[in-house]
Amino acid sequence: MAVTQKVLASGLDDRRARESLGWRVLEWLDLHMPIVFNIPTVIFLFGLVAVPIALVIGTSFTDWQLVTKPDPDFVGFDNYVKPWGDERWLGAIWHTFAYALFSVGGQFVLGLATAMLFNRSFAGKAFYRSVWMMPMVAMSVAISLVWILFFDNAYGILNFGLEALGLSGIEWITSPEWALVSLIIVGIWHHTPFMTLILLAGLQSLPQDPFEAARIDGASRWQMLVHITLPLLKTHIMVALILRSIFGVKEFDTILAITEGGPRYASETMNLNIYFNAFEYQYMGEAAAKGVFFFLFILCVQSILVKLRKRKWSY
Amino acid sequence: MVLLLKRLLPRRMHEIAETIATQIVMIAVVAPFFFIFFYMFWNSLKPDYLFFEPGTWIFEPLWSNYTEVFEYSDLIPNIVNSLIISTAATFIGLVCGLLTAYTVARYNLRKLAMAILVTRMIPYITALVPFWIVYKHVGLLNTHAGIILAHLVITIPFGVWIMMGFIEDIPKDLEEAAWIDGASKTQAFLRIVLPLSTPGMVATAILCFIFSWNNFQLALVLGGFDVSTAPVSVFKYADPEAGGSGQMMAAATLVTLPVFFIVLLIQKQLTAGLTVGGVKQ
Repeated sequence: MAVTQKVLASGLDDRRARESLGWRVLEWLDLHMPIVFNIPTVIFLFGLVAVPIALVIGTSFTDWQLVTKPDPDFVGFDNYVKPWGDERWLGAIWHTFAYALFSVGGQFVLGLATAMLFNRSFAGKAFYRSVWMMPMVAMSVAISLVWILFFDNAYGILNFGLEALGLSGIEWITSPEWALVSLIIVGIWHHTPFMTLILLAGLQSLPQDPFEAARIDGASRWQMLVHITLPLLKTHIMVALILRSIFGVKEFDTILAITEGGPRYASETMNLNIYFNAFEYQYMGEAAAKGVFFFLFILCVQSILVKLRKRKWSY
Repeated sequence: MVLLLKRLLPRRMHEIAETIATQIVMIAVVAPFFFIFFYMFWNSLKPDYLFFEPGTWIFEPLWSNYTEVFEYSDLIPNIVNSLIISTAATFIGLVCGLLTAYTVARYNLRKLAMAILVTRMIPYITALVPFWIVYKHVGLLNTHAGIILAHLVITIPFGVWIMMGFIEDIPKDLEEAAWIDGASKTQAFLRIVLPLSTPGMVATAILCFIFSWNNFQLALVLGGFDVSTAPVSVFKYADPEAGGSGQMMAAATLVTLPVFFIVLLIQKQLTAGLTVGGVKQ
């Protein structure tokens, strides 16, 4: 008897609760959850990404220069055509490409080697791994300062080491030939750990059977690497290469801090070129057009790599 | 006994040799990584004249480089600015990230997730030109609010993608049980998903904070004399005439060490978070 009454009472409570405002709000929320929950994200990202993109495209068709031409006129595709006669911009495209290619290549080779080292159990693995991860979270401007001291012609430890070996020192960041190479070294140092982590995750997910079979058939370690590990690791390799290439193309902090794109623009990348155009010379129209081109360039890099990823690899 | 030793010994020796070899290799591998941070810290205690003798490693450490950084540079006020900006951007990024990640995971909104991932591809410099133009008109240049807004471009997409991984790990059964017990979906989210995803939120918050803290380009353009961030102050030391090499290293150490302590504390979750967007797709 008591129990039934309790049930009835709770039913009444339920009904009363259902009619209350709070409950109605909850019910409404339940129905529209995927929309309501995404309102903040979508508003922020729309305002912070879609609107700026529309604006930058609009600006790119004008000849707006902050100081020398404050009232912009529509100039069509001029800003997209003009830079192609500018050697400095062509150089910047080439440097961006070379920087990304060689730094990501170096990161991949070292990352694969170290991922294979970390893919075994040994004493102190956790410690080594946390040291290994340090560059990933270090402020790039701060480590640039260390590299600036390393690269110093007269008193840097790199040239000190070379001279101790009886070699002649190199003008690391003050000569046009070596400036980009120096930055590539910094890039490899800075981002190899990321490569290692992704490839390590891949190695740990590989099935063991093919390796057993190959071992029984007497395959050498090198053969196993080329014919089993790499093909099986393909997805992880491509994901790592895609992500790192995109970030390599966009690299800004270390280049500005270490060489400022110099000497004589020898290490200037597209990102820096646009930065100088917009915020030093204040040619907003031209910088906007270059910015749009830069974005398209990144999308191209990405889609090429994604296509490669889908292609059947013949090993 | 002797027979046993004979059988055991070669194997033991082999094992020991292998252990030693592994340790040597690992030390050689991590050495360049450790060395740069060691160099940064040790040279921040070095008197400036010793930088002309790169071979000298032993000297009496002095703290004057740090006091000079405090005195002559805007690093301390900018560290305070950075703390404010990164905390606010992390908080907003985390809330947006949690809500969106939950709906993406439970309602399978793959397209939204991919659209958010694409926003990570946009180079900051392309967005900075219009940001600067709008900020100049609205008066947001050189303000905390302006830089916080810009930093949301980092923290929101990042927050969504890391939280997605953590929320997918929470079994759906728990929420379904709550629905059967009469809880609404929102209640189930608040009472079950929210507490269970706390560890993930901590890791996400720390990662968002680190990436916002380290970001240089946004504040370089959008900040100014009044409001700027720590990396901009550190960048000023890249000019050799700005201060001695010792001060350079002191400034670099001041912004790097706090991050390392955090990382050592939560290393395990970070490994999952740092490769986000990579492996779990």
